[in-house]
This record gives sequence, structure tokens and C-alpha cells, in this order.
Amino acid sequence: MRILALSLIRQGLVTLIFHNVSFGQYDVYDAFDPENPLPESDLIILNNAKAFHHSLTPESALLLSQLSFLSHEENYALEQTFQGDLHNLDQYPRLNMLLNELWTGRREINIHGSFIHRINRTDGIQHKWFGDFQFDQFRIGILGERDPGELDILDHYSIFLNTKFQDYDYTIGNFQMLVGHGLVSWRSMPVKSDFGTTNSILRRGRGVQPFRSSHESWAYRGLGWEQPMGRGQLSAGISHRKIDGSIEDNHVNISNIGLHVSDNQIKNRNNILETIGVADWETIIPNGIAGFVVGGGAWRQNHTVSYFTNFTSSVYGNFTISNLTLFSELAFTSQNKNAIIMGGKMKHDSFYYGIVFRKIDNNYFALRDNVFRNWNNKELGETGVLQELRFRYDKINVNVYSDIFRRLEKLKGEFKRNGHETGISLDQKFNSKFWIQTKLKIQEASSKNYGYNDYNFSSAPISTIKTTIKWKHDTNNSFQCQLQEKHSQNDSPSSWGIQLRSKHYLGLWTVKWYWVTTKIESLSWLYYWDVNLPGEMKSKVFTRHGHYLGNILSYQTSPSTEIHFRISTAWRAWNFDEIPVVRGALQINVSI
Amino acid sequence: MTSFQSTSHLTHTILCFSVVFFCSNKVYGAFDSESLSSFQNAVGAFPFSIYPNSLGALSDPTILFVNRSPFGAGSINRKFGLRSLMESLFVVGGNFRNLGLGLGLSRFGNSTYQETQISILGAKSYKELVHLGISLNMYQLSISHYGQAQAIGSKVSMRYAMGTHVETMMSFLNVNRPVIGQSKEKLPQIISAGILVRPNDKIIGQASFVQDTEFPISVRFGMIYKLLDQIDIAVGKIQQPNIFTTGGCINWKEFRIEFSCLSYANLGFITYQTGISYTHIP
Repeated sequence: MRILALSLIRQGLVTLIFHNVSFGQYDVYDAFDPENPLPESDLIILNNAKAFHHSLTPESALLLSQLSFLSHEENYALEQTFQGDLHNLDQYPRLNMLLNELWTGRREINIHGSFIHRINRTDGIQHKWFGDFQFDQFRIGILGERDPGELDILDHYSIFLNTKFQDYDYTIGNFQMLVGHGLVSWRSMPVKSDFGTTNSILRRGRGVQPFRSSHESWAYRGLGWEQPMGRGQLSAGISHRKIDGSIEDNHVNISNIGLHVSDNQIKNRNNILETIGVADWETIIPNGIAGFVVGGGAWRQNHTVSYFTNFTSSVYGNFTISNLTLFSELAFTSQNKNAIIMGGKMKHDSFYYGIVFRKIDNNYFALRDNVFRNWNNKELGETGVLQELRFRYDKINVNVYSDIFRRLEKLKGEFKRNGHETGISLDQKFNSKFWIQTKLKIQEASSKNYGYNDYNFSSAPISTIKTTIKWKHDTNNSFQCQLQEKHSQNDSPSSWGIQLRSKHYLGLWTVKWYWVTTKIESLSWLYYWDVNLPGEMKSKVFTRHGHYLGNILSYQTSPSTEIHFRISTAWRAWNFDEIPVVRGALQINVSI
Repeated sequence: MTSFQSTSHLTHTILCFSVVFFCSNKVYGAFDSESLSSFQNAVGAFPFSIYPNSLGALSDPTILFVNRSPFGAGSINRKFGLRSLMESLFVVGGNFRNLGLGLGLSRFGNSTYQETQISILGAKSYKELVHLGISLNMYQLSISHYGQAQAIGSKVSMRYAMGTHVETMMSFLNVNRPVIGQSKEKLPQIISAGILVRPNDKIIGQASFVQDTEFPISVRFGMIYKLLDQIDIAVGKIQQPNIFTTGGCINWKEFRIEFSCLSYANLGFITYQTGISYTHIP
């Protein structure tokens, strides 16, 4: 009887622990600006960390170190954990919060694989499948996607196999190479100006990594490997695949859309045959690290004579003395285009100062470059300086950043080619239950509305002020309120928005409620995080007066499996006098 | 004259109902009919098998792993009650050395237009949690006085036991993108997902989604109630197209007799289907 009771209690604890970590979307993401998208791979990494591991171990630290948003210090701390030199992350509050969310307690279930199937109804039906499986020393990842309207069941799929043999680490299939600071090869999403950006830019790439995002043309496909070489480490990859895009005079435009519905989109699917080789060698120098990257690629467009080759090289390094860290990367291409990014940071107790300078030639193109920049348009080039200051005043954390940038080329008819972005954030945690944060951002309008069709010549800055209040009533119930005001500084009226969110754990069930009301004036659109299923991080833009109600219902069918259902209703009229737009999604999470 | 009218009527009926049944802006006439057992249809055309040792193995081979004895099953129906739209389904299978194996046959049409599908079915389980099923299908299309064509397709299914009360399933039909005939007509590619809930011994509920990549998604719900140990009854609803379903099954010794009735709300037609299965108990 006693054994039965103990086993029931144990089962209950296991269930409760798993339940609390798995149904919460990660709070750490709430701090990011919904206007800047986050890499999908981060969410997949977090899901895998949650499914496969149950505490901070060298293996889980290695997996978490692949997250894109980590600062240089956080990444270094995880590296130290991986090497067994660090066991406590208490001095890294964001990491600590993340670890608590992931592994509040030790789970007693042994997981060898996780799989997610998501059916999402937007304008059509999107299906997505993610899987990650560990068999002895082999890790296999799969991803499949069928966007609304696409005729192929598996319009896009991706697979990788990762294994380690002696000192060699191999990835076969889809992989990415993160080298230097992004001037040659980086993630599909660049770092953008925001709070904490200087720290992210300073972070060096970690070489060959499996590609987990659903970007259809960004991954390398072939073989990537890492090995010790000389006094350093070599990361290299060879790739041969077809991508969507177009070949221009001196660069290749890689398509970010991935939709194959219209005749033209279907015709241009996989229209470029690409072959790439890239290698990075880095070594430890006194007080720092230095590295050297070489790479080259050839692209041929189907049914045309378009052919393009490019060779690129870069040198990078960082150097630390006491509290000061400096970094730089300088890259050259065979198209005679150059780019440089350099900067430094200084940290003393709670005081932090960072500065980053960049100059990227117009039409700069390497292989998969995606360095920090403000304008998305690569054809006009960019130079700029970003500065960031953080300190603690009494119990308030203050964060200020300022980015001033300038295009290197003018558009026809354009008279202004400068931009700036400034932000200030104040946050205070009154106690473990109550937290408040206020952010003010001022952005140059022209910097955000670039595009051949909708270029906005207005130079009036747009200011956004956002206040977030979080209240954790108890372990099972939490609430959040966010107020947002946005206006153009040319005496135009303000847009206002309020978002209310709550999360409730009810045994095996979890309910999340979400309400947004917006009053929008002209082009001062408001962005909020949408009501997201675990593993999703979509934002929603509000362009008209209206209201939005969202709800997620989750049920834990067993300690390692969950079903999530989402429904949302949008009224695009202030007085509800319009047929609402209803959307839904179903997600099944299973582990083996 | 009578003969002429009869043939003309038959031809028009086939054309008319083929357009209605196969629907939408393009007419993809080949192999659009789902090969479901009577009881699957009764519970809202659930695209996955519900019971082992049943015709459901034809549409969802994962259930073959659960089978412990060799079995055979067959079913017959006339779409919309029309003799010329007759469908017959047969499957035999069992579990041999922890590997589910089966062979299926389905025929649809009439003497003028005939679709035949031969399926080789296999299933394997991992940790008793995940059942994987694969079906290799040979499609044969035959039109009298015109010719015939063949294609090879596939179906991959997965069934996952999410605890004691819930099972989830997923399947992909024709991932290998088969085409048939000289015109290279694309055969249907279908994504299906389903949830089977057993809150107690008496009741089974299902919710499922069937997405033919050419058509809007079809959402289906249904419920089975065990009336007696030998008798189950079922009701269901399909959205897209709008169909109400009902039926039942009777278990008697090694036999199970199934029947279903599909009422097409917008068309006003009814399809009746009956089936029988036999399980060899050594």
C-alpha cells in the first residue's frame, strides 16, 4: 500500500513538474520587440532542450548555447558549463529564468525523441512537422512544411544527421555555418537594433550547426564538419543544392518567402543551382581569439544564361583586457565589395557600455552574410554607430541605446539618407510576484518603411512608449497588462493599444486568455506578440481600430505528451459591427 | 430505344455525380474516393482505423501491429445509392513476428470506368508507443474502349498512444507525387490527422482533419457508444462536404458485421455501406 502511495505521489510530482514547464511559453521572449522577428530555430532548440534534458548538463548547455539571442557573457557561461568549469548560473538572471522555466525540477522520464505536428488555419491551412531524435551518438532532425495553397504535401522538407567521431563533429544534410560576426555566413535572421543588441553582436559564431528553421533557401545542404587543426579549430562545409532567388549583376537575391502557390512562384521554385564551399579556422591568442574565413560559391539560374561566382574571405578576432572587450571582423569579396564591423564593451558590476561601428558596401554579398544592420535593403549599403548603456539605479534597471546610420547610396529622388533609432527602458521587479517595465523608442520613419513601392520620404520620427505590468498571483495563475502608445512627431494623433493576458494551470489543463484593443491612427501601427502555441513566436500587427480575443486550451494526456488548441477572433471595427475573422490551430506534441 | 435511354441516363449520371462528388474547379477523376470501412464511415468518415482486425487496415495500416490473429474483411457500397458508382473493398492481414502485414484491394466504378487499387501493407511498432505503417499502392485506371494506366503511390501513417485514453494519428498519402496516364494527371495528395479519445469503456470519440492539397480541409467528428457487448452504434458529422453519418456493428463469434449510412445534407442523397470481417482464432 505504501509503495503504491509513493508511486502515485511520484507520478503526481513528475506530472506536475512536466506540466508547469511545458505549457508555459518562454517568458524570456516577452522582453523582445515584436516588430523584430526571432529565429524559429531558437524555439525548436528550447523545445528540444525541454524534451531531452532535465537539468543543466554539459549536453544541455551545448544545445542552449546555440540560441541566437544570448549575450557574449551568457554564451561564455554556457561554454564553461559545457567544459565542466561552471555549475551555477545564478549571476546570469536571464539564463537562470530560462533554466527555471525549462527544468523547474528533475523529470524521471527518459526521452529519445520529440515530434510536433501543428495545423494552423490562417488564410488557408498550414501544416508543419518538427522532429528531433537521438539514437546513441546520432542525432537526427526533420522538418516538413506545407504552406496554405501549396499543392505538394511536403513542399518543403529538411533533414540533418549529426554525429561525433573522435574529435570530429559531422553534420550531414541541412546545416548552417555561423562564423565570425556574420559578414560571411550567419543565421537567416540578422541582429537588429534593440535593447541588448550590442551584446548579441559581440557574440562570435559557433561554426557548423544543424539547420532547424523552416527558411526554405538559407540552409547549406551537404556536409559540414569540425575538427582540431594546428593550434586551432577548423569548421568547414560543402554544399550543393537548389534555392529560390534571382541572380543580379553582382549578387544573388535569396528568396525569404518560401511560398509556392502562384504559377510564377511554382515556376521559380528551386530556380538557382548553388554550390558553396566555406571554411573557418580560429585559434586562441593571448587574451582573445582570432579567426580566418575563406569561401566561394557558384550560382546558375535555370533556363537563363545567368551565372555568378563569388569568393570571399574575412578575418575576425576579439580581445579582452580586464573589463574591456574589443571585437572586429573585416571581409572582402571578389566583387570588390568590403564590409567591416567592430566595437567593444565595458562592464563593471551593473554598469555596461557597448559600442558597435559598421560599414557595409552597397550590394555587399558574400555567401550567407547577415550581419547587424538597420536597413533591410542591401543594395544601398550602410554605415552606422550603435551605442548602448546599462546601469542600475536603486532597484531600477536602466537601459539606453542609440543607433545612428546612413545609406551609402541614394535612391533616385531621395534627399535624405540618414536615420536614427533611440530607446530607453526602465524595469523594476518589486518582488517575486510583481514586475513593471517601461520602454520608449524613437525611430526615424524612413528607416522602417523602405521598399520600392511604399518608400516613405517622411523624416518625422515615430515614438513608441510601452509599459508592461506582470503579476504572478500564485504558481498557477499569472496576469499581464501592456499599454502602448505610438505617434509620429509631426503633431499627428496617437495610436493606442492595450493588451491583457492571463495564464491558468488547472490540473492537467491549461488555459490562456488574451485580449487586445487598439485605436489606430494613420500609419502608426501597433505590434503585439500574438497568442502563441508552445514553439511559436508570432507577432501581430494592428492596422485598424479593433479588438482581438485569443484563447489557448492545452491538455496533458500523459507526462510526455500534450495537445494544444488555439482559437482567435479579430474584430476590425471599434463597435464590433463587423463579421469577426476567426482563426484556429491544433498542435500535438509527443515524445518517445 | 429503351437500351439507348438507359445507356444515356447512365452516362449522364456518372458525369453529373462525378462532377459533384469530385468537386471544385478542376476535375480530378482518379482515386479521389477514400477506402474506408463501414464503421469508419459511420463515425464521421474517420480516416484512421478504430478496431484491429478490420477493414480499417486498408486506410490505416498502423492497426495491423495490434492484430494478434490473421483476419479478412470486406465491404461494399454504392455511392449515392447509384449502382454505377459501386465500391468494393477487401483486406487480409495479421501480425507475424512483431511485424504487421496485409494485402488490400479496392475497386470503384462500373464496366465503363474502373479504378482498382492493390495495396501491400506493413506496420511496425517502436516502444509500444508509436506504430508506423506503410502502404505501397498500385493504382490502375481502366476506361473501356480507351485504355488503362497504372501508377505507384504510397501512404505513410503514424499512430501514437498519448496515455491510456488518447491516441493521435497522422498520415500522408502519395508523398512520392505519383501521376497517372499520358496526361500525367496528379493523383490526390492527402494529409490526415486524427485524435481518438476513450474516456471510458463505453464511449469512443474522434476528431479528424483531412486535407487534400487541392481542396479545402475537411473537419470530421464522431462518437461510438457500446450499446451491448456485441453491439456498437456510431454517429458522426463531416464538414466539407456536409454529411451526417450513422451506423453500427454487431460482433458475433469470429465475425463482425458493420453497416453505415451517409446522408449528404446539401445533395439530399444517401450512401449505404455494409461490411463483414472474419478473424481466425486458432
